[in-house]
Amino acid sequence: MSQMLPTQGTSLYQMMSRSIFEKCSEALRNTPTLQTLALAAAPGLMMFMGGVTMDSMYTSDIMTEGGPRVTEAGAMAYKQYIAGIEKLPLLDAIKHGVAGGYESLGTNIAMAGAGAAHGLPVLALIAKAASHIEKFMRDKFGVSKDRQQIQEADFTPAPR
Amino acid sequence: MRIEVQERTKRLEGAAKLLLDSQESAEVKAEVALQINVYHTILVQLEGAPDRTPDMEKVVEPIDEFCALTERTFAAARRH
Repeated sequence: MSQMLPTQGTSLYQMMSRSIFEKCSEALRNTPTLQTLALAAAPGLMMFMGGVTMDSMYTSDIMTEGGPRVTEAGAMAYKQYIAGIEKLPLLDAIKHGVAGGYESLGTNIAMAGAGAAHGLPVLALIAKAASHIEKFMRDKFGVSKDRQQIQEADFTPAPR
Repeated sequence: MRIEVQERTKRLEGAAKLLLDSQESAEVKAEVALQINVYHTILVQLEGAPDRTPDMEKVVEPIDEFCALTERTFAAARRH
Protein backbone atom coordinates (compact mmCIF):
# COMPACT_ATOMS: atom_id res chain seq x y z
CA MET A 1 0.00 0.00 0.00
CA SER A 2 2.71 2.43 0.93
CA GLN A 3 4.19 2.43 -2.56
CA MET A 4 0.93 3.93 -3.78
CA LEU A 5 1.19 6.98 -1.60
CA PRO A 6 2.73 10.31 -2.50
CA THR A 7 5.14 10.28 0.37
CA GLN A 8 8.22 11.60 -1.43
CA GLY A 9 9.27 15.01 -0.24
CA THR A 10 7.00 14.80 2.76
CA SER A 11 7.11 17.92 4.87
CA LEU A 12 6.97 18.05 8.63
CA TYR A 13 3.66 19.86 8.37
CA GLN A 14 2.24 17.08 6.18
CA MET A 15 3.38 14.43 8.61
CA MET A 16 1.91 16.23 11.59
CA SER A 17 -1.38 16.92 9.88
CA ARG A 18 -1.61 13.25 8.93
CA SER A 19 -1.00 12.24 12.50
CA ILE A 20 -3.71 14.59 13.75
CA PHE A 21 -6.08 13.38 11.07
CA GLU A 22 -5.45 9.79 12.07
CA LYS A 23 -6.35 10.68 15.64
CA CYS A 24 -9.57 12.25 14.41
CA SER A 25 -10.55 9.30 12.24
CA GLU A 26 -9.77 6.98 15.13
CA ALA A 27 -12.08 8.99 17.38
CA LEU A 28 -14.73 8.90 14.67
CA ARG A 29 -14.61 5.16 14.64
CA ASN A 30 -15.57 5.18 18.32
CA THR A 31 -18.43 7.59 17.78
CA PRO A 32 -21.35 5.73 16.25
CA THR A 33 -23.58 8.77 16.76
CA LEU A 34 -21.61 10.56 14.08
CA GLN A 35 -22.12 7.70 11.68
CA THR A 36 -18.56 7.08 10.67
CA LEU A 37 -19.26 5.59 7.31
CA ALA A 38 -21.69 8.26 6.21
CA LEU A 39 -19.25 10.89 7.33
CA ALA A 40 -16.37 9.33 5.53
CA ALA A 41 -18.46 8.87 2.45
CA ALA A 42 -19.88 12.37 2.23
CA PRO A 43 -16.77 14.16 1.00
CA GLY A 44 -15.95 11.19 -1.20
CA LEU A 45 -19.34 11.35 -2.81
CA MET A 46 -18.93 15.00 -3.63
CA MET A 47 -15.38 14.62 -4.74
CA PHE A 48 -15.71 11.64 -7.01
CA MET A 49 -18.97 12.53 -8.61
CA GLY A 50 -17.89 16.11 -8.93
CA GLY A 51 -14.58 15.08 -10.41
CA VAL A 52 -16.19 13.04 -13.08
CA THR A 53 -18.70 15.67 -14.07
CA MET A 54 -16.22 18.50 -13.97
CA ASP A 55 -14.77 17.55 -17.32
CA SER A 56 -18.16 16.97 -18.84
CA MET A 57 -21.16 18.98 -19.86
CA TYR A 58 -22.61 18.71 -16.39
CA THR A 59 -20.12 21.11 -14.88
CA SER A 60 -22.54 23.97 -14.47
CA ASP A 61 -25.17 21.71 -12.95
CA ILE A 62 -22.96 20.52 -10.15
CA MET A 63 -21.77 23.99 -9.35
CA THR A 64 -25.06 25.81 -9.38
CA GLU A 65 -27.78 23.31 -8.57
CA GLY A 66 -25.88 21.19 -6.11
CA GLY A 67 -27.35 18.03 -7.56
CA PRO A 68 -24.57 16.02 -9.12
CA ARG A 69 -25.53 13.77 -12.00
CA VAL A 70 -23.67 10.56 -11.87
CA THR A 71 -21.83 9.17 -14.81
CA GLU A 72 -21.08 5.48 -14.98
CA ALA A 73 -17.42 6.10 -14.23
CA GLY A 74 -18.35 8.30 -11.29
CA ALA A 75 -20.67 5.71 -9.84
CA MET A 76 -17.97 3.08 -10.16
CA ALA A 77 -15.34 5.27 -8.54
CA TYR A 78 -17.70 6.05 -5.68
CA LYS A 79 -18.48 2.37 -5.16
CA GLN A 80 -14.79 1.64 -4.96
CA TYR A 81 -14.27 4.53 -2.58
CA ILE A 82 -16.89 3.15 -0.20
CA ALA A 83 -15.31 -0.29 -0.45
CA GLY A 84 -11.98 1.33 0.35
CA ILE A 85 -13.37 3.14 3.38
CA GLU A 86 -14.59 -0.16 4.76
CA LYS A 87 -11.20 -1.77 4.38
CA LEU A 88 -8.78 1.08 4.92
CA PRO A 89 -8.40 3.65 7.65
CA LEU A 90 -9.90 6.93 6.49
CA LEU A 91 -6.56 8.62 6.02
CA ASP A 92 -5.26 5.82 3.82
CA ALA A 93 -8.44 5.89 1.79
CA ILE A 94 -7.92 9.58 1.14
CA LYS A 95 -4.27 9.11 0.26
CA HIS A 96 -5.27 6.25 -1.98
CA GLY A 97 -7.77 8.51 -3.71
CA VAL A 98 -5.23 11.30 -4.11
CA ALA A 99 -2.76 8.85 -5.59
CA GLY A 100 -5.30 7.76 -8.21
CA GLY A 101 -6.08 4.44 -6.67
CA TYR A 102 -9.76 4.27 -7.44
CA GLU A 103 -10.32 5.55 -10.91
CA SER A 104 -8.66 7.53 -13.62
CA LEU A 105 -6.40 10.28 -12.41
CA GLY A 106 -8.54 12.91 -14.03
CA THR A 107 -11.33 11.92 -11.71
CA ASN A 108 -9.25 11.79 -8.61
CA ILE A 109 -7.47 15.06 -8.95
CA ALA A 110 -10.39 17.03 -10.31
CA MET A 111 -12.46 15.70 -7.43
CA ALA A 112 -10.94 18.15 -5.02
CA GLY A 113 -12.30 21.08 -6.99
CA ALA A 114 -15.93 20.07 -7.10
CA GLY A 115 -15.91 18.54 -3.65
CA ALA A 116 -14.59 21.73 -2.21
CA ALA A 117 -17.30 23.74 -3.92
CA HIS A 118 -19.76 22.22 -1.47
CA GLY A 119 -17.55 22.86 1.53
CA LEU A 120 -15.36 25.80 2.37
CA PRO A 121 -14.89 28.07 -0.66
CA VAL A 122 -11.18 28.42 -0.01
CA LEU A 123 -10.72 24.70 -0.65
CA ALA A 124 -11.77 25.23 -4.25
CA LEU A 125 -8.87 27.66 -4.60
CA ILE A 126 -6.46 25.09 -3.22
CA ALA A 127 -7.77 22.48 -5.63
CA LYS A 128 -7.33 24.90 -8.49
CA ALA A 129 -3.79 25.63 -7.41
CA ALA A 130 -3.09 21.92 -7.13
CA SER A 131 -4.74 20.87 -10.38
CA HIS A 132 -1.44 20.46 -12.18
CA ILE A 133 -0.44 17.62 -9.90
CA GLU A 134 -2.44 15.28 -12.08
CA LYS A 135 0.53 15.14 -14.42
CA PHE A 136 2.86 14.73 -11.48
CA MET A 137 0.84 11.78 -10.25
CA ARG A 138 0.63 10.23 -13.68
CA ASP A 139 4.39 10.47 -14.13
CA LYS A 140 5.01 9.18 -10.68
CA PHE A 141 2.66 6.24 -10.59
CA GLY A 142 2.48 5.49 -14.26
CA VAL A 143 -1.28 5.37 -14.32
CA SER A 144 -2.84 6.22 -17.64
CA LYS A 145 -5.78 8.57 -17.68
CA ASP A 146 -8.01 6.31 -19.73
CA ARG A 147 -7.68 3.42 -17.34
CA GLN A 148 -11.15 2.23 -16.39
CA GLN A 149 -10.47 -0.81 -14.26
CA ILE A 150 -9.75 -0.53 -10.58
CA GLN A 151 -7.05 -2.67 -9.09
CA GLU A 152 -8.87 -4.55 -6.37
CA ALA A 153 -5.61 -6.04 -5.17
CA ASP A 154 -4.55 -2.65 -3.88
CA PHE A 155 -6.83 -2.92 -0.90
CA THR A 156 -5.37 -4.51 2.17
CA PRO A 157 -7.43 -5.31 5.25
CA ALA A 158 -6.99 -2.66 7.90
CA PRO A 159 -6.70 -3.59 11.55
CA ARG A 160 -9.69 -2.33 13.48
CA MET B 1 -18.60 21.21 27.42
CA ARG B 2 -20.26 22.99 24.55
CA ILE B 3 -18.83 22.64 21.08
CA GLU B 4 -18.73 25.95 19.33
CA VAL B 5 -19.29 24.81 15.79
CA GLN B 6 -19.48 28.16 14.02
CA GLU B 7 -16.37 29.46 15.67
CA ARG B 8 -14.51 26.31 14.73
CA THR B 9 -15.70 26.46 11.14
CA LYS B 10 -14.38 29.99 10.90
CA ARG B 11 -11.05 28.95 12.36
CA LEU B 12 -10.86 25.98 9.98
CA GLU B 13 -11.46 28.26 7.04
CA GLY B 14 -8.70 30.53 8.26
CA ALA B 15 -6.38 27.53 8.45
CA ALA B 16 -7.31 26.57 4.89
CA LYS B 17 -6.43 30.09 3.73
CA LEU B 18 -3.06 29.88 5.47
CA LEU B 19 -2.44 26.56 3.73
CA LEU B 20 -3.39 28.03 0.36
CA ASP B 21 -0.91 30.89 0.79
CA SER B 22 1.80 28.66 2.17
CA GLN B 23 4.91 27.35 0.48
CA GLU B 24 3.82 23.72 0.78
CA SER B 25 3.85 21.71 -2.44
CA ALA B 26 0.69 21.25 -4.48
CA GLU B 27 0.32 17.61 -3.50
CA VAL B 28 0.60 18.44 0.19
CA LYS B 29 -2.00 21.15 -0.28
CA ALA B 30 -4.31 18.73 -2.09
CA GLU B 31 -4.00 16.06 0.56
CA VAL B 32 -4.48 18.41 3.50
CA ALA B 33 -7.36 20.10 1.67
CA LEU B 34 -9.13 16.75 1.64
CA GLN B 35 -8.51 16.40 5.37
CA ILE B 36 -9.96 19.87 5.88
CA ASN B 37 -12.94 18.82 3.81
CA VAL B 38 -13.55 15.91 6.19
CA TYR B 39 -13.14 18.18 9.23
CA HIS B 40 -15.65 20.55 7.73
CA THR B 41 -18.10 17.71 7.14
CA ILE B 42 -17.70 16.66 10.76
CA LEU B 43 -18.48 20.18 11.97
CA VAL B 44 -21.54 20.38 9.74
CA GLN B 45 -22.77 17.09 11.18
CA LEU B 46 -22.10 18.24 14.72
CA GLU B 47 -24.15 21.33 14.19
CA GLY B 48 -27.19 19.17 13.55
CA ALA B 49 -26.50 16.68 16.34
CA PRO B 50 -29.07 16.95 19.14
CA ASP B 51 -26.80 15.65 21.91
CA ARG B 52 -23.14 16.24 22.39
CA THR B 53 -21.29 13.40 23.96
CA PRO B 54 -17.74 13.01 25.28
CA ASP B 55 -17.08 10.90 22.18
CA MET B 56 -17.83 13.88 20.02
CA GLU B 57 -15.42 16.01 22.02
CA LYS B 58 -12.73 13.53 21.11
CA VAL B 59 -13.53 13.91 17.44
CA VAL B 60 -13.41 17.68 17.68
CA GLU B 61 -10.16 17.90 19.62
CA PRO B 62 -7.97 16.99 16.62
CA ILE B 63 -9.70 19.67 14.55
CA ASP B 64 -8.54 22.25 17.08
CA GLU B 65 -5.12 20.67 17.05
CA PHE B 66 -4.95 20.86 13.28
CA CYS B 67 -5.93 24.52 13.28
CA ALA B 68 -3.31 25.27 15.93
CA LEU B 69 -0.65 23.40 13.95
CA THR B 70 -1.53 25.26 10.77
CA GLU B 71 -1.64 28.65 12.46
CA ARG B 72 1.64 27.99 14.23
CA THR B 73 3.34 26.74 11.06
CA PHE B 74 2.20 29.30 8.51
CA ALA B 75 1.22 32.37 10.48
CA ALA B 76 4.66 32.34 12.07
CA ALA B 77 6.32 31.96 8.67
CA ARG B 78 4.34 34.89 7.36
CA ARG B 79 5.61 37.20 10.08
CA HIS B 80 9.22 36.52 9.12
